[in-house]
This record gives sequence, structure tokens and C-alpha cells, in this order.
Amino acid sequence: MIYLLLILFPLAAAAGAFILRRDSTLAGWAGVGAVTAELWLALTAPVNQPARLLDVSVNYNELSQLFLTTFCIGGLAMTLLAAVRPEGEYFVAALLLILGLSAAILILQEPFVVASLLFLASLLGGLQLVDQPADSPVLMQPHTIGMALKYTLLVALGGVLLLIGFVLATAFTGQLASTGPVLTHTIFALLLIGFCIRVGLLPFHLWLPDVLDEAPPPTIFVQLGLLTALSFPVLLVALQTQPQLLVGNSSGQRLMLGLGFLSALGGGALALAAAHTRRAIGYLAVANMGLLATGLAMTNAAGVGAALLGALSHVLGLTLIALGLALLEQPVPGRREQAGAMRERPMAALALLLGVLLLLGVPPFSGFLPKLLLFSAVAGESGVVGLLVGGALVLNGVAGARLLSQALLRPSEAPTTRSLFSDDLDRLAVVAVPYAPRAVLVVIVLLAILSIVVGVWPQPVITLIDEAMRGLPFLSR
Amino acid sequence: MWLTFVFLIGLILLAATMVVIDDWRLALPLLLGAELCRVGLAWQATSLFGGTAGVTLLAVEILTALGSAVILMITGLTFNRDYHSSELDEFAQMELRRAEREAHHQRENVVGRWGATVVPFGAMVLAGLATWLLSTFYPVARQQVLDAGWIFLLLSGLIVLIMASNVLKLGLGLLLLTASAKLLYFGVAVRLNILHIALLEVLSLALAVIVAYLSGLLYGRLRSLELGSLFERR
Repeated sequence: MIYLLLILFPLAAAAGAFILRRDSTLAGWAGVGAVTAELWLALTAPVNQPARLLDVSVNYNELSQLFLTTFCIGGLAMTLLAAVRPEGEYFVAALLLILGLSAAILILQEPFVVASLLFLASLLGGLQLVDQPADSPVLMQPHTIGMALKYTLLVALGGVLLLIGFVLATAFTGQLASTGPVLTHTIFALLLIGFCIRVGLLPFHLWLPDVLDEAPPPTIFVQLGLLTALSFPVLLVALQTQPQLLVGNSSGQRLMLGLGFLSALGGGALALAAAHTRRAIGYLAVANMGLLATGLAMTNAAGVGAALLGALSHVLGLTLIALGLALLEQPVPGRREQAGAMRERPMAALALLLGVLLLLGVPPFSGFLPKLLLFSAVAGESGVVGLLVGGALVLNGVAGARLLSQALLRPSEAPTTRSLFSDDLDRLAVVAVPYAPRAVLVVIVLLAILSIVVGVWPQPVITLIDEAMRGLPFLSR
Repeated sequence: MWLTFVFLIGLILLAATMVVIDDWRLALPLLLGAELCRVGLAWQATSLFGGTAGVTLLAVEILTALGSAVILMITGLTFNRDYHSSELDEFAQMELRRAEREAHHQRENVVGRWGATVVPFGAMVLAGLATWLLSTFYPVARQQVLDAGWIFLLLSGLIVLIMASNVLKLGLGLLLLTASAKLLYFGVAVRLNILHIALLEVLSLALAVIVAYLSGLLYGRLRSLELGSLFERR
């Protein structure tokens, strides 16, 4: 069965990458091969052929295909990065394991199973936090270990809350309408808090600042991009099996809207105040997730469509940001840089610029459509909701502009890395030491093209999302 | 029926003692005891453990409980500060004797001071009260004893996490939370699902392994499993 292959292939490839872990280049290229094969499988596997496996319903629908394809594209870029620059020993193996678990979450559509798998994937992501490259300045530092402990603790707490919520939701399937509002509210609150902790929505974002400061860029992609976006299908599965959790639960809807707006506005404000690029990026990602959560809370077709499309665009944006950050932060011996990153490392700057623009929803990139859909969803709500969405978008735009000017235009303050013969080099004309391998630059260009194509011609993606949303029983059209 | 209550009382007493006692050497065997009581409670109070599949389930549950406790126990014993005096020079031995004297002096101050156990003891009394109220007025599982079991484990786990002073206690708290989710699952499940059970067991073992890995890293860097050491040397 091809669905089983989609799940088991990355897991088997992870075992191979684990064996090759001592040779990071080889492990990286093996990872590139495995993720490419998984991407091909994700694109060619037949959709909507439901089956039963171990007493659990199995289906690979349009939404699963879109999410898995996007995760594979992101994973491909990260494994390529791991092949050309040093990453942690276990990075590729852990990434493949997480990809396999993501495929399982998207295919095994049962609430309890997906919650357990998300919990497991998040714990694996925690191991990546302490798995730093050998030349990393934060390798084995007490604060890095403290960061991993804090992350594990919070993610486990969120995971247990999700598990308990899903156990209760499964146990009372079809009975919530008759059990009264207390149980419905309790289950929804447990699921929402677990979801917020995993996604890092304010005020449950305690693990986020440390991870942003310490983790290498590919790990930031896994934490803020892949695992965060994966939480949306997990929540959708719960709402699919138990629509009463949100439909008719006006206090729950208000709570979710409130938390979404708190993150959208608070994340924007924190990004504006952040002194470091990494933190500003992280808070912008939180703000974007907050906006997507508000879309989901509105429970109308436009809002949920905005949340799903936005989650995909979020992953694409974080992929570009991780690539940009990795290339911008990497010291290159012999390379003399005085001007801003935009002039000195233009392709790295382009990746960061595009990634941030995708998060902000600037046209003509793929991040624009979700924001447009969000405004369309707001049309049926009160004026205050529209004002809050507009305010959040403006605030995030200002924070994004500040971040980009700081990161890309400001001249480098760090001393230029010079080789032993720097005096001789000074006398010579500028030596153009490449700052990135060609393969990574090609990936950046391809991702840029993809984001523009999807932004300009979104119809195929919209058709797929529309097909997938037909099966959602909690939508108020 | 009386066996069900024996398991419930055992579970409550062991989990409460685990919260009050700070020493991981005692807390880890207590965790194993509490896990076994949890398995016993689920075995007695639900119908899932009947037949051959039920016996296998019982064996898997006991093995997982044993496995996670043993992983943490080995971690504690491996990453324990243990000096061999024959390997130390005179200055190091002198330093070690001084540290021993200080530790002995501090222990004398702490032992017998009931104040240190008042907060955890009080917290456990409140947790017991909350358990009784919640299981009485908001029943979720098929039997009230199961509700009492999972709610008390959840509250104990949260209290252990709040009061944990070292990584092993942190792991212990996380395992208590997972045990609570497992007991709730057994309390509401109507039939056995292999995938669900397998995922729950894998999660418990994964948590134990991850805590062991992080303990190893912490000990390798700071020669201590105390959480305070993370902040002292910044």
C-alpha cells in the first residue's frame, strides 16, 4: 500500500542517515535523495482512497498531499543545507523521522493517533535543539541544555494536554451535544492550550525566545515552520470528528479569536521591539500564526481556507528564512565585507527578504492570498474584528520593514573574517570568495519562483484546498 | 472490588510520597510502584484486560513501566557524582573532605526540619481534595476509582514538575503526566486498539530516553543533575 510507503520510507531512510551520521556530507546528500523520493511519492500517490489499518481509518486527501508536498520541499532545502555546511550529527536522521511522523499524521486521520504522533515528533524536535554542529559557539553550553530542557518540559506538557483532550473527544464522539457545555468547554480548552503551546502562541510562547537565540537555522525551520504548521491539520482532525467543540461553542470561539489576536498584535509589537534579527523573525512568525488561528476560529470557508493556505505559505516562508539566515550568519574566511548583507550576500539577503515578505503577506507572493482570504472572512464578523486584523497586519508590516532594514541594509559591525594572508589580500583587488554553494543558490531561486507562481496563479492550490474543505463538517458557509 | 481500592490507595500513597520526597534514589522505585498500581487499577476496573490479548496488554504495560523506571534509574546511577579517592591527589582529597563536612552540616540543618515538607504535603492534601471533588461531580471514566486515579496522577505530576530540583525529578513528573493520560485512556476506551496502546507506550519510553539523554548532556557539562547549576554558572 503506497500510503504505508509514504510513512515508512522516511523512517527507514532515517535509520540509514543515522548510520551515516559521522560523515555529515554523505548523510546530507543521502537525506536529499530520500526527501526527493518522498516528494515524488507525495505528488504521485493516489488521493482519496480510504482504507483501514490496525483498526484506524487511513486516507490521503488533497490537504494531506498539499501539506506533505510543502513539508518535503522545506525538508529538501534543509537536507541540502546539511549536505553543504556542518549541521548536528543527528540532524538529517531526526528530520527524516519527523517527516515520516508528519506523513503519518496527515494519513492516519484519527484524533488520538495524530495527537500522539505530534507529541512524539515534538520530542524528537527537542533532541535537534542540543544537536549542534561541532563548530557552534553554543555547543554544550549550559544555557543551550537549559533551553532544550525547557522546550521538552513545555512541549510534553502541551502534548499531554492534547492527549487528554483527544482521549475525551474520542470517548464522547457524538455525545457532546447531550452531555452539556462543561465537558465541551473543558475538552476545547485542553486542546486549545495544547495547540497554543505547540505553536508558540502568546502567552504560551515561553520556549520560543531561547530556541530562537540558540538553535541553528535548519532547526528553527523544523520548530517554527514544520511542527508549527503540522499542528493545524492535527486540530482540524479533532474538529472534523467533534464539530461541536467549535460549532455552537461561542465562548470557545471567542477564546480562540482572543488568543489569535493577542499573538498577532503582541507578536508584531515584540518583533518591532526586538533588538536581534532572529528574535524579530520568531515573533513575526508567531504573529502570522496568530492571524491564521483567528481565521480558523471564524469557522467560515474563507477563514479556514486562509488558515490552511497561510500554514503552507508559512512553511515556505520559514524555509527561505532558514536558508537566508544560515547563509548570512556563516563566516567565510577570506571574504571581506563592509556593506550591508543586500550588497555583500545578495542571494542570502533575497532568501531572507522573500521569507519575511511571505510571512507578511505582501503581493505578488504566495503569502498574499491567505491575508486576502482573511479579510474576506472578516466581512461577516463585527467591525472590531476587522479593525484588529487590519491593525495586526499594519503592525507586522512595520516590524517586518524594520527587521529587513536592520538585517539587510545596515553595514556589518562584526570584524571581517580574514585569512592568514589578509595583508596581502588587502593589496589585491576584492577576491570574490563564494559565500554559498551553487546548489543552495539554485534552491533559493526555485523557491522564489514557486512563491511567485503560487502567488500569481493560485487557482490549482485553491481548488485542492476547496476539495479538502468539503469534508469539514464545522464550516459555516 | 477490594483489590481495586488497594491499587487506588497504593497509587495515591506512592504518588504523594514521590512529591514529598526530594531524593531521586527513593522517588524512582516509588515511580515504578505507582506505575504498577496504575496498571493494576486499569486491570481490575476495566474490561480491556480479559482474554489472551488482555494478558499481553498487561505484560506490555508492566514491561513499559519497568523499562522507563530502569532507564531513569540507570541514568541516575551513571550520572551520579562519585569520587574514587584513590584517583585523587592530596589537595583534591582535602577539598572533598571539606565539601563532605559542609554537606553533613547542611544535612543536619535540613533533616528534622518539617518546614521543608509542609508545602509539598499541603499541595498533596489539596490535590487529594480536588481529586475527590472532580471525580465525584464530573465523572468521565466508566468508574469513579479510575477518575480518581488519573486526576490524582495528573495533579501529582504537575506538582512534581513545579517543585523539581533536578532533571530526574523533572522526568519523573513528565512520566506521571503520561501515566495519567494512559489511565484516562483505559478508563474511557471501549475496546483494545493496538496502535493507541503502542503509541502510548512509545511515548513513555521516548520521554524516559530523552530525559536520560539531556541528563547525560547536563552532567557532562556541569557534573551535576541539579537544575540550579544551570543558572549558577551563567
